[in-house]
Amino acid sequence: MACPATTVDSAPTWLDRLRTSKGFPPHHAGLDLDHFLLLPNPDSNTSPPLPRPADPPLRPPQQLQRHREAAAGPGGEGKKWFDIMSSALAELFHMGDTRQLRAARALKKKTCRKQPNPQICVVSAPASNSGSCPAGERGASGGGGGLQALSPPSAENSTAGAKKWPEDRTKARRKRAHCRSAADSSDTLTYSRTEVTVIDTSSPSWKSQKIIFRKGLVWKVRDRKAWNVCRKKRKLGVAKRLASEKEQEELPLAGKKEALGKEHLTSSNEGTVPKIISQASCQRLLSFLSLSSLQAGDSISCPTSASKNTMLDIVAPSLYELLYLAACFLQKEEGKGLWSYAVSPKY
Amino acid sequence: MGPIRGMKRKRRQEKKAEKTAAAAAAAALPGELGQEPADWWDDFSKRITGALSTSKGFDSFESVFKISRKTFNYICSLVKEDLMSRPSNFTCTSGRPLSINDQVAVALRRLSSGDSLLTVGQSFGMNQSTVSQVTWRFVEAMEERGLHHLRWPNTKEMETIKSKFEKIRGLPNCCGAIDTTHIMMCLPSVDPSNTVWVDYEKHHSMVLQAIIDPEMRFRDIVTGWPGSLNDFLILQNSGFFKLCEKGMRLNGNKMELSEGSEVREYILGDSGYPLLPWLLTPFQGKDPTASKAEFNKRHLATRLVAQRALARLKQMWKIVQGEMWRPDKHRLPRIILVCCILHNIIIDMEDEVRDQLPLSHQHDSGYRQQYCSFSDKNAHASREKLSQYLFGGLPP
Repeated sequence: MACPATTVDSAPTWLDRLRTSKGFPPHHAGLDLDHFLLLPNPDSNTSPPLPRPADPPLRPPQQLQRHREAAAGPGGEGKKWFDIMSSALAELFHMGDTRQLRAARALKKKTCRKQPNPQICVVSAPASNSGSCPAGERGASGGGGGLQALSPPSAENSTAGAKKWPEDRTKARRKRAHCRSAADSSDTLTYSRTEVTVIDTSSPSWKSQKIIFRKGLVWKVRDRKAWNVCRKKRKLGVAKRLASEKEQEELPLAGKKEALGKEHLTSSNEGTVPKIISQASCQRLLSFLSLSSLQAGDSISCPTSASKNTMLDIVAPSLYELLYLAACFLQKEEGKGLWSYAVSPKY
Repeated sequence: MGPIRGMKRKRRQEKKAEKTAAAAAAAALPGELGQEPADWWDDFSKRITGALSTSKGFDSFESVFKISRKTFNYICSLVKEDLMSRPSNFTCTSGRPLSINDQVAVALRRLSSGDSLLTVGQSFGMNQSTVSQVTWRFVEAMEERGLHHLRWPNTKEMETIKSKFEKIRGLPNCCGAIDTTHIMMCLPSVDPSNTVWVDYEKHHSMVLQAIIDPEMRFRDIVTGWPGSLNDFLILQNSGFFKLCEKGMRLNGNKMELSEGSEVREYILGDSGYPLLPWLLTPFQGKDPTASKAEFNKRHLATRLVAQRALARLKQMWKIVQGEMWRPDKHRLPRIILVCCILHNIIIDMEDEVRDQLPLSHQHDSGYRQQYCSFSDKNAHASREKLSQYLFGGLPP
């Protein structure tokens, strides 16, 4: 792209208008861009133009930068003007190597707007109107009131918000699903992923597709089909009902499994997994599980003993396994306060 | 790009023509089910070429398919509807369309011999892709139509099973034996995604967990999990485990051993399994007491049915015996399931061919015995009680 300044002729163009509006002399005055850059005081319109090189080519950015520095050097006012001009020019013109510009653009694109290590967001006030993600989720799923809190306060948006309620809701759901999948992928990024078809004649659906995530001794098994079904069910509005049914089904089981778990905690099937766990730890674990209403499929994130920054995730496919894995982990983490551990919801 | 005008109509017409052709071919077939089965075999056996035809002893039906004609006809009747419902134009290299019997024969030969698609195709005069497609359609039909041959027994059947187990070595109230075998696969080691399939013996394999009844019938199977998962993990993730933990399986009548002492329903497993109230494993450790040694001896003799059943499965259906060359890991579990169903059908049909096979219990050669240290306190007590009962009666 050629510099627009060179294409302007006698007729007042947009560039001239811009210059005039900003208080600069028009292009016809014989002042070019370099003049402004090199001139310490751009207000002095009367000063004669600096001698120009015979054939001024497009200068490389480094050279231009040097000129800018030289121009900005003497005084603070010059620097201020230089900053204004350089930002204005950077927005208006393409100066310099195209490859560098592309690289810069690519770099700009690649920078992720999300946190590299997102923290678990805890919302203290349920009716909070803050724009945090969980509040937004609640608003979207809860109804119109919550949704209003999400939408900008402009009148245009508020009227549109009432009209396009289902669309917004879908968008919010999509966004939430995206958040979840992003969290999922970041969580299991370091795991090896294998999709398998499992035949189990004792299961109601004897043929199912599972995804196995594996990292060392930690295994995560996800039901691939169940996720799709869940989405469909959520769409139909039966997910909540099913979840409550599942809870009711698991509640009487919890007592039994607790008793089983106590036994299971004392030994293990893996040579590398600790075999002995103290009674106190068991109690703490059990109380933790019951108090935090942990469910099967939830993951426990907690700092490892090696480093506080390293997080270890345990996702259990069943309540029993959760109990077992958590117990193994707790044994490793003996002496640490369980209450500081974060529990992320099932996704 | 938008759809081409009239494409739907054209496709419909093509489908109609295909259906008509298939119906005409089926009507013109000499070896159709309605006719005398002997005619079909006479005709089919003449079409067998290559090594299979010249080999000694391959002149009879049983030697080629390892099942009797009665069982073969039953299998054909099971899958006939499914195979007929979808129009196909499977033909021999001579252009002759394949009948239902032909298709079942090709699929059974592929599953039972474990020969390559090329070898099977050459033997029956057809393209290897035809063999592959015919076999897969048969597998799909069998898993739907034959699944009732592989199910957990009802209360009445369970009573028979218990008494048969007791007859073996006196173990009371035993409902089955559990065991695991590995279906070996040949996968490229350079692909890091294949490491999950590497088992503890450094082979690529898929695991088959099965619960067997005293007649060597599969009563419950779990397959598809990669070889790196150990027996306990597979058991834990199975529907059977969940049902037992919920008290919805192995919850039948308890048997009274002596006054005030009774034993619940249970299955038997080797030392690779955890000791649970419903899963009894042998005593571990050196120099066991006389009662424990006796229990272990009876335990081994009783759960031998599981080892034999798995050995026979691999012996009969050689596709799961050898090292499969880069199989589709989503299709393999379904093939394994169909082999188990076919295994059960042979037993249910009281096929005499099974008696001709030698009894072996080596199903996982090269795999060492695994040990699981996990045990349940209550299970300890009931196993102790049972060993005392078997050794010389429980003290009053």
